[in-house]
Amino acid sequence: MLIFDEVAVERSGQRLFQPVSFTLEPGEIMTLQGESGLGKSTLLHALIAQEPGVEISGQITLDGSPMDPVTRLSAESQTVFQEPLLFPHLSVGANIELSMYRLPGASHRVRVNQLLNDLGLGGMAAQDPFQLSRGQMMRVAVARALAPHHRILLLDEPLSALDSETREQVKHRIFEQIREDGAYGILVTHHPEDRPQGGDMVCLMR
Amino acid sequence: MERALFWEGSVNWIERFFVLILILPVIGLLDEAYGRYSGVSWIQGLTRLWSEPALIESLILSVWVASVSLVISLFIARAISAKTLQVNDSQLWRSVLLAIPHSALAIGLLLALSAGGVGWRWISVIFELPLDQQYLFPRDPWGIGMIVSLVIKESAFLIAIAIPITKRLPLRSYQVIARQAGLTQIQCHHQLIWPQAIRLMWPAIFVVFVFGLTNLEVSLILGPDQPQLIGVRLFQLLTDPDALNRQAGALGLLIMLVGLAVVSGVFHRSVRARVKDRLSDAMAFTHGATVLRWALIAAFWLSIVSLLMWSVTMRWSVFEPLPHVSLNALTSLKTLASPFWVSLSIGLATGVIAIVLAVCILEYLVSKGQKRLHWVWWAFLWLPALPMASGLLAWIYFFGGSPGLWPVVLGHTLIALPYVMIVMSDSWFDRDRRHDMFLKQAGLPVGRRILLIWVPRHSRLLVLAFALAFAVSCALYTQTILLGGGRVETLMTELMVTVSGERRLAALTGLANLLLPLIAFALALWVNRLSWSHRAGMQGEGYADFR
Repeated sequence: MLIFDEVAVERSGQRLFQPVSFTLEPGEIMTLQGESGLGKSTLLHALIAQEPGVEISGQITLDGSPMDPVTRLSAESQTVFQEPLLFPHLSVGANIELSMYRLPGASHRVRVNQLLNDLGLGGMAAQDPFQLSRGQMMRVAVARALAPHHRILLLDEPLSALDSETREQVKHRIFEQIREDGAYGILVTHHPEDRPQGGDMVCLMR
Repeated sequence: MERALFWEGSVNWIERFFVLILILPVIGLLDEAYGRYSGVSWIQGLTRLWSEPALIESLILSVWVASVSLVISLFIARAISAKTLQVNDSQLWRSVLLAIPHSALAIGLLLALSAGGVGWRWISVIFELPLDQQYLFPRDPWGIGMIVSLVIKESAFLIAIAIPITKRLPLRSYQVIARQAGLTQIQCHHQLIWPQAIRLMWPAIFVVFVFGLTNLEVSLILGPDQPQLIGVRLFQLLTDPDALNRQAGALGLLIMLVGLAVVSGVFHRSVRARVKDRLSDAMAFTHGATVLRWALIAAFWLSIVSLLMWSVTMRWSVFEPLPHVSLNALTSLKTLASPFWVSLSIGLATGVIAIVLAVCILEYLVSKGQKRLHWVWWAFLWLPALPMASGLLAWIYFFGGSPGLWPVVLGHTLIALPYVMIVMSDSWFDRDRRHDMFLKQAGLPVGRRILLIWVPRHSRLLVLAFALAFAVSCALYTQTILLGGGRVETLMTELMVTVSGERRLAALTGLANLLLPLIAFALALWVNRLSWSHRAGMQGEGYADFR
């Protein structure tokens, strides 16, 4: 289980939002919804790495173990940021493979091709990422986050750059993998339509 | 909110280490000044220093040359930066401007404007003046030759610093405000943009003043018939076999350092605190700056033409405007083979060491959340080359070492590293932190992150910085002559030797010294472009994270 107990974030001594508490079972997704500038993205970033001037308070435990104050959840998580943040010197395939660096095995290329097919980018592994459209680049970023099957998926408005048809396809692929892997998903969004359908939880932040 | 050129907060252990490197040469000088080698008290050293003839005159001339060349350079930098704010590839131009080999250009200028020089022959023909008379440089009491030579380098340096600084300001908003107030684009630059840039630029302005005050090369190139600057006088004392003279030289340098510390305080206060209560007449300045700009460009090209013409001259009668040229004149190139290879080796070693150190240091600073370069790196440029090199030499002797190739590489690296750090730091500090978050999540160790991601990603910047370090190394004289004990022959030291000899060889050496850094730049850019021709995001400055 992933438990957030009275978790809040302070920037330069200023609390950004009211403390949040929730418990996620494997395969569940928590949607954090709230106005712009509230600190939702800052919370996700603080779960990955320490940042100067940003303090995280409260208790976060993953399967009974408290979060390491230094490495945070970086070893167990992958993130889709608001921008694709691809590396311009690597091909589409190499950008995705990079996220599987710690995983042993020679099947990385197979996994890359399978994810690209699922996200409608089949045959683009050798392409220059900066020749893709912004929506395609965003899908590569999603594939990069899904590739290593990490236990936690942090989603920082991953669908905002996509058209409505692709949006549904990508959303379905992300939530499907979280459920199949028994992973934990934390989704930050402004848009109620980005939330997963079904019994997942929503936290309205203030 | 002003974003200053450097950070003035607390220093970390790397910066402390480099402060130590900066202080060590001064301690070495103190040791020498106190009389370790002469065996007499510092008062006797001081008496010896005062007994030097015309020392005060040299000091006054040096201050005059440094101040006038600084004012003219600022004037030109203001005019040119107003025209070049729209430059797209600022990193390329910044690096090329920082790498201008002023000594080679000074030789060209000397060969152009001295008696029998290219320019002088042409001017004499036009104005029907006697060709065999010397009017310009001999016993130049106002240091005009030195001022012109220094302005070429200093204005380029100030423009290189001014462009990125002005680009940090909200230029578009200022231009809208200016247009609404009825100001032209040039007036907007002079009234609204430049006064802010100059407040942020004071560290660079001080570097230029120090460079002008303590410059050795230009004064040596322009010849012994010139009144000598204070740097040359102290250099002669410091390299004298007599220990008392060396002690006097060390004392002179220490007095100069104290003086510069006082001047730096004045610079800091007067430039940063300056608030104007009325607008200046921008147009009057603009016309003056335009004249100066064209004069500078003319001097630059005259210098290049002069180097080229003298390099291939077989015979040139003093009464003829053009020489008899032959490529046979290039046979003298053979004599430059050895200094060429030494320059190349030292330049490559300096470039590689400076880049490796800069990448490691910047990576560490980014990981600690630092956003800007600390003033310590600028301090390396504030410390004149002479005390730095002679202090380092004192330490090399103290540890039982002797001057040679590696001390020269060390000296060159300590000067090239701050330049490299200044050029690279903005891109390193401005990178998106989320990239680091992703790499941390992917589990890449720090070494792999640097080699697989940051080095290839910033490859264009790195090759430009490498070429800059190489060019800086090619242009260093004081460090080479002192730390090499006079035994390490580079193109730059050869330039100093040949300048008082045959003109053809001097021009060839100057040309080689000018071309070597330019070839390094061209090669570096070509190799990088070729390597990334298949990656759209790596073209240009290569910083786009998304389209």
